[in-house]
Amino acid sequence: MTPVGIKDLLLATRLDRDQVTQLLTPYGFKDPVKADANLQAVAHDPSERRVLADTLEELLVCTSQSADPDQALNYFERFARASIHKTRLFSYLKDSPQTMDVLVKTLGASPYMAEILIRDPHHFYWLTEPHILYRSRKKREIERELAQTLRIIHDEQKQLDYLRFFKRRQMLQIGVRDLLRLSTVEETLTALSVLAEALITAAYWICASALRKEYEIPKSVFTRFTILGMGKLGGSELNFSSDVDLLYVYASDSESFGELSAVDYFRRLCRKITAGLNELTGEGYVYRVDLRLRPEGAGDIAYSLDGFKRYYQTRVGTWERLALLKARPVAGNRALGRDFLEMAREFIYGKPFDLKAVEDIRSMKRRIDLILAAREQTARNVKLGTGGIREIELIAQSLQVGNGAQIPRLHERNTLKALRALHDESLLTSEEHGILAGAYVFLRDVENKLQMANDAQTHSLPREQEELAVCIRTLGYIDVETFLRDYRNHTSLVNRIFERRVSQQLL
Amino acid sequence: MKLIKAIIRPNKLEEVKDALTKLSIAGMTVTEVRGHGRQKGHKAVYRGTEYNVTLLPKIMIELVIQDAAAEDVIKTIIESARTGEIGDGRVFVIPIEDGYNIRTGERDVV
Repeated sequence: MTPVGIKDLLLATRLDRDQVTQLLTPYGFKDPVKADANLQAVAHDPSERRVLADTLEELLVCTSQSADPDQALNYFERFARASIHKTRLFSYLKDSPQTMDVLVKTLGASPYMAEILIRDPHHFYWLTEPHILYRSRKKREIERELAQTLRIIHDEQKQLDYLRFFKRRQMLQIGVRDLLRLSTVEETLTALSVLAEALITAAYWICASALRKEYEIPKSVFTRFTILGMGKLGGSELNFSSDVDLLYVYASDSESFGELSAVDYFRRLCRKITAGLNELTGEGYVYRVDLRLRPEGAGDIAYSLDGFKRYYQTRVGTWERLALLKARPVAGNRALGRDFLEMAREFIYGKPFDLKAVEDIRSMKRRIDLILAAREQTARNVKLGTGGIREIELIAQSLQVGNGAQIPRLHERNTLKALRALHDESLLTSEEHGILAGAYVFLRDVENKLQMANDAQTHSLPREQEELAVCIRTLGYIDVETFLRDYRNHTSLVNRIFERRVSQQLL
Repeated sequence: MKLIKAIIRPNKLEEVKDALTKLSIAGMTVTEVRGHGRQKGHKAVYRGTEYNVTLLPKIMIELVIQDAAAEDVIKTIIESARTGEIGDGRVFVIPIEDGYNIRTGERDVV
């Protein structure tokens, strides 16, 4: 057999199946024949082939280092096909091998990110600009960019579509930085939350402006409304496929704006904002909104500050106390947001965190455990499983609510910061803090990578060994066993603390 | 008639196209180009070796319009392609003497 070189894959007149397999197998492809078919499809005319051949080795080396080489090449073919001018793309990748590395590792690790790139191939050039790829974007910067473009779009639906388009591009930047370890887990969670805050603010602005125009409402209405982020958004710790938990609050029931009463106006506004964020159009969606933390978990979409107060006076349970701990104004009038927080503080810390409260948490956890056991996810669910993220959150939140009345420093929404504060106040030992913070970062990283595989709200490790193997490679692991050992180690240590602190009431 | 040549950031293409469509400008030529102006490329390190990426990817849009529409078109391109950072691009305006429709051979009116 005549010796053949790697470029022959694209330039030889003829190669037989064995030669193709021999050339491609060293790069880690499970299906070298399919990989070859992808390569042949990437470049059609001779000029494209020559340029791609010049950079083929780099492409294959980067592919072999990605989490899933077969997937990487598959998406590379689709990405190249989607770009305007393949020769320009290949020549850019050749002149800038670092960008080849960024592209191929992303395609191999995350179908979610790959689909964003294929849909808008130009995002790739934006992404690889050093000031975009190598630093987190500040909220100010994101808001400025959004405002600049929204100003020149006049139609409400198109403005909302722009938010969907914008979100996709920002998710690409946050996701790729996370995948390539250019940001820490904490930075990723913060970046996701900052983006959500900017988009929710923009959606509010779009909807309020449209409604004001329709009903000739005075501008002063802007000071009478606020949106609170709850849960992970409140804690600035969102993940890639989080719902956003929101509460809509307006200042007073007794006002009216133009021809509408406050109740009527704010209900319309909140339905509009929720629909704008939730709705799936050709451009995708902004966020899935979860409003179940509002009074009764159903009923009116928005409440006045007094309405919330009346509800919490009669109905505040342990669950609400833990949930309110996370409340943070994310859009609208900040002064009204602060008024809400002040009111909430009284309900969170106003009464002692007694045995009944601990029993509430235990029974809540038992319910979760039963559901997971029925789904056979106890040992695989990163969020709700034994020793998972929820147990860490419950430990932190119970200690915070139980001691926050005396120690204002514990009024902290972010889980990692709360753990640090609990440790500084000697409510967690150094060992406990080390275990809980370490496990939290580890588990949130795993959750991010699971969700980045697709834009899916999954929290469970895949059952399929092969799928799990791809996922753990994005986490920097080589073999599944080492990963599972670390996973079991983290979760069993967390569970031990949970059992001791919460289940045995040693708060 | 004027030829407008705009060099813009690749990721701004959709926004510029949308904005121009609103002015009822339907025809345009889009080319993927590489070049540099004041944004003189950047340095990058790859496997320990530093190299310069001097020619950055850009998009060139070309369109032919009536003189009277020029001001609006230029304003629209600038507004929709602007990010405020170095590297936003350029718009050039070139007078056109004549244009012909190849299919019909007629002297073209835009």
